[in-house]
Amino acid sequence: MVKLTRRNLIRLGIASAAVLAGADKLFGKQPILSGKLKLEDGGKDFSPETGKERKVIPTACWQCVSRDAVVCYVEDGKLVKIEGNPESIRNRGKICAKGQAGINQVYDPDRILYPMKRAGRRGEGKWKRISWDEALNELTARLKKLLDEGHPEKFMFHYGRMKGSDDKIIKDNFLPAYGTGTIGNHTSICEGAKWVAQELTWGKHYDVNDVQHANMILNFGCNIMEAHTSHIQLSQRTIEAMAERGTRLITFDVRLSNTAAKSTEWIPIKPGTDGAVVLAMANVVMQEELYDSDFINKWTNVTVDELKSHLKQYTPEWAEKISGVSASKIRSLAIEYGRARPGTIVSYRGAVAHYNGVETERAIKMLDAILGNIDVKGGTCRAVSAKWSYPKAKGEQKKLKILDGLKGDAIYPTHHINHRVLKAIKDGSNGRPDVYMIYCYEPVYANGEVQENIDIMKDEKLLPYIVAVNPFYTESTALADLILPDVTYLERWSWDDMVSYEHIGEFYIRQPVVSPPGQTRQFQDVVCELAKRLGLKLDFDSAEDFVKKSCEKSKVDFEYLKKHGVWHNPEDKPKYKSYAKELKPEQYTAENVLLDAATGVYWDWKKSKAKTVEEAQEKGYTATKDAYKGYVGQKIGSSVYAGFKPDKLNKSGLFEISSNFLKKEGYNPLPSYFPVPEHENMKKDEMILTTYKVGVQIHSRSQNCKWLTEIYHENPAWINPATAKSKGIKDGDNIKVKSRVGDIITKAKLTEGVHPQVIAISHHLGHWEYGAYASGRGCKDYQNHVCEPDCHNKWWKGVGVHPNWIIPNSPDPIAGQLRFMDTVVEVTRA
Amino acid sequence: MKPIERSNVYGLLSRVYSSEPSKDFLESIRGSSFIEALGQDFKSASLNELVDELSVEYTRLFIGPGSHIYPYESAYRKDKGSIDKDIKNFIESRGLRYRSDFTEGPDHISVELEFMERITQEEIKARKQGDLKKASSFTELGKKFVNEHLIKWVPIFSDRVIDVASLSFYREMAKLTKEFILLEGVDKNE
Repeated sequence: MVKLTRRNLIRLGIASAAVLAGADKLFGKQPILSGKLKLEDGGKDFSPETGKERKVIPTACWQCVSRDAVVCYVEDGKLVKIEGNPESIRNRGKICAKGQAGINQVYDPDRILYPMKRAGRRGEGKWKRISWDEALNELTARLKKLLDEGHPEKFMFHYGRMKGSDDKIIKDNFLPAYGTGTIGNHTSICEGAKWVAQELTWGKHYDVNDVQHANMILNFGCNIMEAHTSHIQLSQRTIEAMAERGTRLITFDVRLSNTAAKSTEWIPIKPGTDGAVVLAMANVVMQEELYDSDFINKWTNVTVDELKSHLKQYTPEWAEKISGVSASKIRSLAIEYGRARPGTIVSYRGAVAHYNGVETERAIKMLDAILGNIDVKGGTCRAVSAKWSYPKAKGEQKKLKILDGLKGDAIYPTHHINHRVLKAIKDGSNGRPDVYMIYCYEPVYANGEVQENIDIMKDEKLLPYIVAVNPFYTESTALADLILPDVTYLERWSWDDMVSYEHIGEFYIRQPVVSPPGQTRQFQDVVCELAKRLGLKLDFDSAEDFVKKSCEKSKVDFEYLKKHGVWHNPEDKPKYKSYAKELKPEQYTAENVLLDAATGVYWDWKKSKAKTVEEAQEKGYTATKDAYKGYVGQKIGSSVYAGFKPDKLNKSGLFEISSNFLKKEGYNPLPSYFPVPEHENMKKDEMILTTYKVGVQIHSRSQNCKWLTEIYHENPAWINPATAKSKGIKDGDNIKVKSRVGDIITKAKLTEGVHPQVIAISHHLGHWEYGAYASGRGCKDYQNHVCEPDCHNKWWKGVGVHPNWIIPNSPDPIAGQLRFMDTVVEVTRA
Repeated sequence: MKPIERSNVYGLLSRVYSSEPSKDFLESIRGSSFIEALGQDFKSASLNELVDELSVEYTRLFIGPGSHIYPYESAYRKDKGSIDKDIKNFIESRGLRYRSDFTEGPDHISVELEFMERITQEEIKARKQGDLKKASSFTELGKKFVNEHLIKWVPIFSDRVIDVASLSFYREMAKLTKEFILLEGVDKNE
């Protein structure tokens, strides 16, 4: 081989000339720079220090599902700062640390900038950059083949975070036009049990706790100050109520979260027993005659006597034995809460991600109902959000029956059981997708039983073709065959509609604040091209066009939204007690509207699956498939009211404290307590694993943000000192945490702020992909950090541990919710 | 080295780092005396295989996903906060524009190398026209750009490529790049 000496370099200079002279073009390289090179300054002028114009562009956050309105500051085309949008009635100019660190998403040095095709074995990490044309040719061919074979359902689309117009473009347009209904979501790893419980009682979720007008707030297992689906809206109003009006916040939690620390009182509770406490409180409310008999009699489907006699078994003394919360505390809080009306109960995963989570949430809603706290100012309200109109495509959608996991997993999985989808694919008895597309979804990392997820994803016999749509190289993306690089939320067009704690719908949009880097493309634009290639018709040709057309249909000024980011109708007033609105006769005597004698529901049978009016009349409202879609109103006495509109289940328009849906399946129709089976016969030294979120990280999608990971990159396990002592564990010791599906090694953090039977490990960390900051891989491979100017400032080494390796993908029997907080573990020194 | 040779090396290296190699590019290199410097595996592999292998290698080395070598000056200049913007401003203030569909960062190695190619070309043109003052101004501009930018990071970048490359093509090209830039940094008036 020729040695590279200077002499040889000169020869190579001549050789280069020969190489370049040999072709009339630069071998596929277009010149990057054009124009005439000059010696003097000109054309554009830049002041090195001052005089730079900062553009301010309003858009919307999307670090977490709260989706607050923000404004972005852009200098020389670079995003330099994000703040809350002061014009928003929801977040009122405030955002959290995660929102401010959104800049890091855009400038993550590890973003995927080009379509990638797998070059080695699946998961080996070898990739070939390909053009969009090549990528879409390949994908179109596969999708076309399924269409030609009459099996569109073998294209499975599985999404994690997808909301607003991003969701409507895919789910209400592209996928119906294509014909697949095999659409997976991720709600069962969030709060599916909470929504199912609400569907069983008052219909459509969400619930909005009107804390700013409440006299007292009870909190079961929600980290209001650090997480919650409406984090910034809820936390600022909670603090305001506490600081300005002295509202008391009582937090039941197995752990001293920052919310518990900010609360008037923290009440430690044994995991999975919140329901027992709530039922005992309801019992006290009934015994002490603190209930709202008007509400119970008119709006619920039970009587005061029925409630009294059902609840009397749940004494505070009984609940104390189960939960560890003292009977006197339960009694005094029940009386205090009963007298403080209006009050509201906040609940989240600490209460619902259990075997008995649905029953706990039902009991919580019952307690607020019997106190008349439902949908009143200062109470527990039904959510109000912007009602967008938008283009929709219709089409028959066939689906594989794998969305609800395995047979017998749950009785009412109305939000599906996404953590069991891979198991259903492995099982194969209901078919398998030929094309499995994951969109901002992390089946490997976000579900339990991580190793099994990896094994199934890696098996090309089970999943022949995996497409990942993501801006980042995540654990799941690493197991794909084709990667389509999406843009981040700061480079996309969408409209959004998150619920409003002002009870007035806020319309808002997301618009690009910087241009997308590399060849990243918003996936909603990509599906417009895919549709064309597949010969499918959509009524819009880009994400921006969809937003524009939605604005026209919704009578919202697009240009105003571009300038201000948010808009609400100034005429709108907060909507309380919407259930008590009386309907006009023309509403319930309209064509196709029937009165169901059994329930008193007026319903439009045409919107159900009934084929004829005779069939609808014969089967009745409750037994006709999708009858809830035609719900019009509820007859009470001689009047007809809007009532509690059902969703997903053919519930009546009453607030159903007693549920026939559960009775039918052998459950007590009234909210009841049953224990978590695994917690019944625990050995003396076993513990219960609980997981939680912190204020500066999103569940799985923020660890690539250097500012956040600098703050939070280690998650030692919280253990009570008394428990630790009995196990010979000292603060900082390495410990092994072992469940029936695996074990992890982590460090112990001794703190009184955790229930003695509980070991608490946060989510968020322990990534092995997702770029250098999240995984600790990459930069450290080189002697000097080299990836971006700031990288040498990375002073920390730890990446933490991920608890999901040892959490079974186990569903609750009613909703199918992943029982994140039920896992029994052995904890030993490692 | 003569200005025309320097210009050609800049042009060639700019091509090497701008994207995956095309078949005709590799073919042309194999037909030149370069081949001696590029190792046995480069010589003996079939051209189609080589295009495939080098495409995967290019992706792995410079694009990712996952751990890779960042071909941007800003990644290596810890002392400077906004080098990418500075480079863009400097190049644009000299009358040049970035291709509208160019999607890499403005301080990509192939941009800086191409900028030097343009400067050396102008230098040659001015000299041909007998405008020696203009020619030496371009020489000075080039010297300034090499000494303020390329020399500060390209040798470190090249060392990483030499370390990490698994095929001889990029390893040897990186050696060449390093030596060439070091040479450019000291004397250009031979």
